Amino acid sequence: MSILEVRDLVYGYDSPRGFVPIVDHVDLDLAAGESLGVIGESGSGKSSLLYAVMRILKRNTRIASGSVKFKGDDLSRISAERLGDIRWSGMSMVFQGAMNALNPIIRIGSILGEAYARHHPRASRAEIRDRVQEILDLVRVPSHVRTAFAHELSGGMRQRVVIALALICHPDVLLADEPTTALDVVLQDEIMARLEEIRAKLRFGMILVSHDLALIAETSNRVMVMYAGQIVETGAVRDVIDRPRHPYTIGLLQSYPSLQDMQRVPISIPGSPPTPETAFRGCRFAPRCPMAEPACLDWVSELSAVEETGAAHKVRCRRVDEVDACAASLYRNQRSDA
Amino acid sequence: MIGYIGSRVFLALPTLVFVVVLNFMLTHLAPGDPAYALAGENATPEYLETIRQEYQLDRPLMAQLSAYLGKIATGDLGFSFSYRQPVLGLILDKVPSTLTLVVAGLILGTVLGTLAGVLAAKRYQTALDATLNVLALLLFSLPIFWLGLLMILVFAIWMGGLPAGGMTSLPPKQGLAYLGDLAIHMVLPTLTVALHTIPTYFRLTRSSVIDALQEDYVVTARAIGLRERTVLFRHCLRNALLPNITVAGMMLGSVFSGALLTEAIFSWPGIGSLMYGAVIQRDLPLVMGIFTVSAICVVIAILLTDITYSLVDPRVRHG
Repeated sequence: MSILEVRDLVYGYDSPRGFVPIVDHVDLDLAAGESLGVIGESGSGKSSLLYAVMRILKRNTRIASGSVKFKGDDLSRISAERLGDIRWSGMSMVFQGAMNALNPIIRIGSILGEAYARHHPRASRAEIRDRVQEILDLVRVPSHVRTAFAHELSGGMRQRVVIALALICHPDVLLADEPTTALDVVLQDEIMARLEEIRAKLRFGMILVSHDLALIAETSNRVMVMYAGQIVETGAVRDVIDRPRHPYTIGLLQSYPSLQDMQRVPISIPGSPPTPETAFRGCRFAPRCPMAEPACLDWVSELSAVEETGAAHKVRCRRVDEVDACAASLYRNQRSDA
Repeated sequence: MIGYIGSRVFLALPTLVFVVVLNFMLTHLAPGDPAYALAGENATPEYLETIRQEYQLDRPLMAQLSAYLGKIATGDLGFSFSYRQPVLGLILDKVPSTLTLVVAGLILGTVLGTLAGVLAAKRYQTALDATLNVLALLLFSLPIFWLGLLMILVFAIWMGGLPAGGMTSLPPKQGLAYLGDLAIHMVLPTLTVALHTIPTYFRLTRSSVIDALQEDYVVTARAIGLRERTVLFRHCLRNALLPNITVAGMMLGSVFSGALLTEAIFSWPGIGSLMYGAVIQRDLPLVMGIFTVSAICVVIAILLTDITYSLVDPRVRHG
């Protein structure tokens, strides 16, 4: 039973030349306590997907169609008041860039307490204080930080506070938008490990957006690969990483150095991701794809299930049946060109 | 905190000296011999010479300057030619009425400008926003003396009801009636001073609130589900309005000069009217004294502003 159900979501902005989708017909399901990783290059629409799900619409953007259902409530049909109730207590978010997510002139304890009080109107001062202390302990932030301002904290400390803020109302779903991107690798690892520990304890569902494949492989049950606003491959983490069926996913996997195979040199996918305003024809990845044929540009792209791995593993590729055979040699020739 | 205030006060001193020297030079560069003004049109050359000697106007400029600086340091702003009284006393007499006008105008202008700015930012890119922008530009382009005359024409002459000038009716009323009378006389001058300051506050507030509404921490506050009022006032405005504090200090200088002109237009018996008379009479000590006192007021205002800012924004205290 899904706690979060996204159907056919289209989110974008209006330009002088018409509506430009950033997130294009995306379906997504998240079961209670499940962890879903969303991966893709910068500009693939993965962060925007989270914003659209949370209905935090930036200026000039709108949700053009589709639905987001949280515990059966269609978020586009409920009142702003009810939406405000669901946010944070039902579904909360760790924003990218913890540096700016905290108000610079309000003390940390007050920011946390305010969020708790909003969703627990009858809570006494003592209860709020206890709850703030409890959540800071959970993310291992020393209690003197409660009276500090955001600028007085280190980057890692700030990130922990932002995670504490997201968890203070015990949400059922946590949307994490590249929560550790701004931190060094050691700190990154420490904070993600802590987050996983807390998740095991509180059992909330999580959508983790990242461009770090290793991070998603470690923390997620399922993974969704996005390219140019569309899902190009989705499935169980093991299926997608062990037997990727989309040339783009293969490219992403090969762009990371491997510890098992030191001989393998990381490759890069040639070209760069398209902007949302590109006039697409056929498969969006075709211009960069080593397997592309002229017919790919006329193909009406759709997600279809991969036969061997089951219905949950879906791929958007015209030549999906041939990918396996080519996988090993893909991108090799590009590399020698580069 | 004490150290911070101390260093700010210390830095204000050279500013003051610079302003005083500049005033002295500028007033002496201006054409017109004060001796003529004092002696009258039919004065003989011998009489003019006597006056120059009496007021030491025949000494070299540098000697006059150093004498002037020395006297200012002891609180002596000199002796007015035209009133034949010490300058300081003349100015101090007029301070309360000018301050009334400046403070009332500044408060009214700040409040109206800020409110309009917040409103325009909330309704960014709507008809209301566009209208307010055009109005602000219009107000900004109007010189204060023209605006003042226009106010008199419209509200005092065409519509009637409001006095065209003065601070009270003559003879002055007593008790509560005096305050009411003062308030009625204040309406037009205060409005003139305020209208002049509104555009600056409007533009500043509008752009900083538009920016602040897009800040990540405001997005966070919304995402948390906080009420729109809380988001706007507690999370957005408290940050966005910080620059307004700084500008209030800087604006005081402009409001002050605006008030001086306004006083001359509305015959408000304050420093402005005093200055106007002094300039016409070529009463150099009085003119310079007024400039010096104005400069001190503005420097003190900016000092207070910086201190207020450091109290409101925790980041400044450490910086």
